[in-house]
Amino acid sequence: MSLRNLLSVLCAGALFLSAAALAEPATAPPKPGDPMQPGYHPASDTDEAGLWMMNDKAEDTFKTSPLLVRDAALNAYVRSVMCKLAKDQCADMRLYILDIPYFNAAMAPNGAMQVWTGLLLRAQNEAQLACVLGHEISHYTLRHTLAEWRRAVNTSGAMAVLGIVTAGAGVGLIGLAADYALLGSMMSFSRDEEREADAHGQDLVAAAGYDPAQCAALWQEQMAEEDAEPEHKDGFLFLRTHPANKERLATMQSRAAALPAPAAAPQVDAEALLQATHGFRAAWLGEELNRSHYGQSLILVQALLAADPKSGELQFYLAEVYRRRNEAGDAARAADEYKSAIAAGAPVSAFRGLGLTAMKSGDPAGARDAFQHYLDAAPAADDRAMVEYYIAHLGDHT
Amino acid sequence: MTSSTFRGAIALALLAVCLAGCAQTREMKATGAANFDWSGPQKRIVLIQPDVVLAELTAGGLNEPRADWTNTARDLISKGIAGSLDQRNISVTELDTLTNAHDVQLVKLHGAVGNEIRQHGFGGATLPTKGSALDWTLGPGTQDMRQRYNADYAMFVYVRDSYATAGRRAVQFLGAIAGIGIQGGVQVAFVSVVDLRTGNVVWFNTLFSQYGDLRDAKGATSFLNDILKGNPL
Repeated sequence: MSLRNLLSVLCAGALFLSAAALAEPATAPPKPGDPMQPGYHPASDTDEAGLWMMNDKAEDTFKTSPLLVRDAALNAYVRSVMCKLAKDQCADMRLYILDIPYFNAAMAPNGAMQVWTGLLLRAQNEAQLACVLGHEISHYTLRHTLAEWRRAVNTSGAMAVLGIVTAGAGVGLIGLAADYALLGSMMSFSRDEEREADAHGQDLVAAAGYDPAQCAALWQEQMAEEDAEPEHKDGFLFLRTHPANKERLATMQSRAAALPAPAAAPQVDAEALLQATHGFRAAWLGEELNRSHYGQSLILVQALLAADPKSGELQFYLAEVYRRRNEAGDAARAADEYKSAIAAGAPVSAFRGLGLTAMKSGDPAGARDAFQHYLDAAPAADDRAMVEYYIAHLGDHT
Repeated sequence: MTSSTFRGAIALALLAVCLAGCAQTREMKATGAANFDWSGPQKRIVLIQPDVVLAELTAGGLNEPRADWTNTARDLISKGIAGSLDQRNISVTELDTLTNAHDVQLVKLHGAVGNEIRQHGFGGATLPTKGSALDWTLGPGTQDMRQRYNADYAMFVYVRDSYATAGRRAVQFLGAIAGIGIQGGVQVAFVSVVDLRTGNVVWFNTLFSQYGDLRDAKGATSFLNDILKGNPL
């Protein structure tokens, strides 16, 4: 078969294919970007209804997940922030707080919002939490998943055809390049959607009376944390899908400045967020440290301390970061922080930390003293036997 | 290219598309250990809402879920099974919606266990320590269903079914010309009867097919005739 003949066969096939593609029913009248009305549910014969159906199934997993945080007060608080932004549409949304120590939130196309505790730990105030929720709500109301899905259907269809044509014609390399070009177009489109969600989300934040400049502040803080250990970007899912961070930070800053001045003073509400999350902070910080990315944890704890400098609890976790990181000079830094923490009314574990640090620095007397304080203050501690063992063997190796 | 070789290529292509799309059903079943033990004179079964997804297979090979087809198929399957058990004088409680979180988990567990039985319970991929005996279980977590639905056994149904779009069929046709076999729509299904006292799967049947249509009553009836064949109830 000559090349010309092969091409004519392929062209005939391509014509048949495009005719067939055109003959497929045009499902789903709503287009991505069309505003979604409160109470909306897609008509059952649409691709959007199929997406919702699969997401309903996935949502069942959240409902019974061992990671689900069921605390009623915390759920009511985060939901209230979501509702200030979503207004009439809030009734269409379900909230799932998941106990995962990473900075992330996500909204499914059917209205299921996930918020991870790593985000609640990192947001410095209610306005910052609103920034992330507003971004996610925008993905939902602008139907971005539907857009992504339709693009996947169309692009993979094009890839299948290109793959066949190029395989048949023996030009595999061109086929590969074409595949990459198509993949590139998918990526750049979702960046546009991220920008759109940034802008729309920031508008929601400002319309709800929050300070839109907090969005940029949050973004900057997360970038600083990520940059502390660029080799461990994996935890920052929210940023990972958001390339070109610097450009977006600049856009957020300029947009915040350009938004019309609100009638009342813009809210930040640091106190409200702190009150709602205070009881969980120790547990969340413990999980944060267990990620073992101490460079990032250090930036986080220092930022939390800047907002709440008298917190013995935060000083204790700062000391824990130093002790566990264990780089040159960290033992002395940890000891200093444990002492400040104890002075500020830190949890009793600070004495144990101080004992461990003293033991490591070759100070058996200091270690014994600290351990004894720990056991006196917490006689029923789980690790009592371990600490007694330390006391009994202090000085063995020094 | 002469017109006769062109016709030949088209004929070959059509044959290849047909071979990809019209394969035989492979029916596999195990009937071991079906010693039904009813607690009362009346045989009572709870039919758990079938876990069904019907999808449209797009030109590029993505399965696009279809809510309307799925709802139709799920109703046809439930009604068909209930009717057929009714004819055998079995009292059927139909669980039309899943509101209990524990039931939802059991349906997912059944999907996972059933897929394992499908892969390892029959033929080639038999597990060395498991053999071909039907000794799979959902575990004692099924016990509370027994009281809640007042039944001795539960029937679980799992169906994943896809239908090639015109675009997909065109890609299959093009692929056949280029000598590449491209998959069309497929139907994968299995049904289990579970003893609610133990969670043990006491009867299991599975079906793999590249034809059949669950979107209308006729297709659903034919599907149920296949999947319920040999059902010892």
